Amino acid sequence: MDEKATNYSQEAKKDDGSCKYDTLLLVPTTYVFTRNGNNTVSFTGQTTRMDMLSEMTTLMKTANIAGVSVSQTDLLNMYTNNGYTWVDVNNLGLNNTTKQLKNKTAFANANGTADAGIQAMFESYMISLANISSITTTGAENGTAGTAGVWPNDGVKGPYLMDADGKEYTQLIEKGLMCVVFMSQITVNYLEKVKNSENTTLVSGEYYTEMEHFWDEGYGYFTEAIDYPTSGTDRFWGKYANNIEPIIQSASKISLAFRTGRTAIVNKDYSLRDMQVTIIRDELEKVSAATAIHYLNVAKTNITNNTTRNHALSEAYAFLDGLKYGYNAINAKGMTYSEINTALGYFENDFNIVTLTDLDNAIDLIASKTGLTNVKNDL
Amino acid sequence: MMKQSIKKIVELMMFLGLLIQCKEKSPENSPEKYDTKTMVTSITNNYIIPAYQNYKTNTTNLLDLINIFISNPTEVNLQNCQNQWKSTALSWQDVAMLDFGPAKTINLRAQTNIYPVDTTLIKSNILSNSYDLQQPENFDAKGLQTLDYLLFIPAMTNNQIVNYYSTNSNAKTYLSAICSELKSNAFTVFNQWNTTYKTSFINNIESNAVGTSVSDIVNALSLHFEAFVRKGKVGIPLGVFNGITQQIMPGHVEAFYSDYSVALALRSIEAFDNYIKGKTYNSFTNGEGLDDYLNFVKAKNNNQDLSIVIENKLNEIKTNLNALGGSLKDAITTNNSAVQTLYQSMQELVPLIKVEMTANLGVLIDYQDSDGD
Repeated sequence: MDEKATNYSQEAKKDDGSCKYDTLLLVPTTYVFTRNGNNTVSFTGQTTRMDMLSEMTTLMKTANIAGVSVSQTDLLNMYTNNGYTWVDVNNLGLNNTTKQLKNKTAFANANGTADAGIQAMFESYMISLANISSITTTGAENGTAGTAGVWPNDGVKGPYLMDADGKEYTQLIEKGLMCVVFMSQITVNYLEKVKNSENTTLVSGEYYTEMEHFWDEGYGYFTEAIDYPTSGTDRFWGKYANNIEPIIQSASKISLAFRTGRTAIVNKDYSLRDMQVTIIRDELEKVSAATAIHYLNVAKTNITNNTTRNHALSEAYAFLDGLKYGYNAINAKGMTYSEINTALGYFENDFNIVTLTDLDNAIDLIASKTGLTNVKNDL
Repeated sequence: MMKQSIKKIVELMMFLGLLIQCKEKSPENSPEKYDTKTMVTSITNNYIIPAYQNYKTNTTNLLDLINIFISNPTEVNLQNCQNQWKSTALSWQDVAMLDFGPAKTINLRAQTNIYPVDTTLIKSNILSNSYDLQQPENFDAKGLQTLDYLLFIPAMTNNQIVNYYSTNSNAKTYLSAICSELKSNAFTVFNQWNTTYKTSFINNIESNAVGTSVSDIVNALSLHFEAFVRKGKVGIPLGVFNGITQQIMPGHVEAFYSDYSVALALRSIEAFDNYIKGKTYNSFTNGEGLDDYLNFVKAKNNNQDLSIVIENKLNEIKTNLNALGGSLKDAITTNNSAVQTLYQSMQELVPLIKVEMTANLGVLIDYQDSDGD
């Protein structure tokens, strides 16, 4: 008889060997969770959408070659997954699914709906990209300040398709959708949904509970690699978190927080789970802000290299604007919506007239609001 | 003396006991004790079947007028179709909250009233003259809202619309096909109600559990108001579901092309009110309805009868709709605060139905208004 056993009975006179214990699960080193030998982790829907964005990005980048035109219809159809035939390199069934990026764009709250204003913003980016690409001619890299087109390699970077103001729509779309779909779904939707979900019975026909699954779907938008950051550092958040790992260790912190939170769910330790929710939200915000600062530093170094500077500013702009759609900004935590807009104001509407003072102002503001002041020069 | 005192104490205790009993809900007034058979029978015979009959008749009239217009395209014949379209769309509002049984079986709502319609698909269907209207991908290229587009083609005068149909036989065919299908769906649902379904519905009243008639009535009512009136008619075009930007979408109103949205919304609220009260369709006769059921179980909201609170809220919504000045899409752009006020009043009705009515009647909400993954 043992009072700590879950089948402890006061009537038992002695330990008859039948004591049962609920053993607490320890945090595993990889994102692998099982129940009675069955895998309980599933996030194919998230990998499907990441593959869609990868294919979009590959297609958009073809327009960096002068004379190559990208179809507006194709880009819009890819965004809604309607009528576009995917390559589907990972055989995830992209051509036979109703899953899409558009209807997951910019939720304001858990179980929310996509925001048509943000959808329209991205569709206008796609239309702009297609329009510029349609006027380029083979061999003519004549993009320059005031002229949209393919901007030539300036000795550091290029060629890139950009508009007359130096905006590279491929970056605004790829990095932007990383934020308004993947980050938004993680921080606004799934990490909030777990708090009001079922965790005692298994979902019918599955090996996982609803809460476990919501958590896994959040993880799936961060990376599809179960051994991250050993693998999974080749694209999207897995890539950018890992890029700055030596400076702020976000990749390892986020990986650990996802594994710890998932373990806490199995152990029904919800205060521990909620601590991990906060860590992931804060660290993802930091990755986005730090990456924006990194590209602003690149723009400073290349202030006279027009193609490189504008390419870097496009990246920085997308990561900074994207912060608006994370949980923290929406809920007035971390860097606020209006502070983000102030920082975006330093970019000027025309990237060609940005000054070093503008860039320093933007870097200082972002760093001070996201706790990165000590490392802003290292990024 | 002593005896007298004891008697008084006993009397006092009995009185107190009565008081205590009265404070608790009397078991006689629990939802199970109500004569739901009378209510369901009355709602079925006096509202549901005549409302479907009226809708069915309106679709028949519309098809007749459309066929007259097709064989003789004149402005007068077009105007007759346009006016009859409005009557048909109004009569649809009376049955839109009855999405259970035969209507649910054929997904009548999705087949009848999806908006905004896909004008690109409509045009390509007309061009190809080849389409299967039963395929779900054509659901936003058919129904009442597609007729709204086809009878009130944007940027065309009635004279130009007449010319368009005079010279486009594919368009004539499409117009007639859409209305035929609308009519055929209305007949299917009405006939099922009027033959077999009526009896089984009236007798499915053993409890209020999921799948019973009372549960179906209340769930459909709640879902209809929450998702298709509050959200569909007002919330989405107003932009409140664009959680971050609040981007307005006046193009997403019901009856966008005829600009008849306010009249349809008003009718839907009136229908809602009549239906809850158990009124006989198109008459002042007030029979047993959900309001009587709520009164029977003494449902209260802040010490007021819940049935009265719901009625007051419906009246407030009507007042707010009337304040819009006739055009919802214009109001969204130019008188936005009035539409916000309207939406707010609609928002306040949701918990009265979804939480309080259901709790008092012992009905469980069996729908989820969110898309899964």
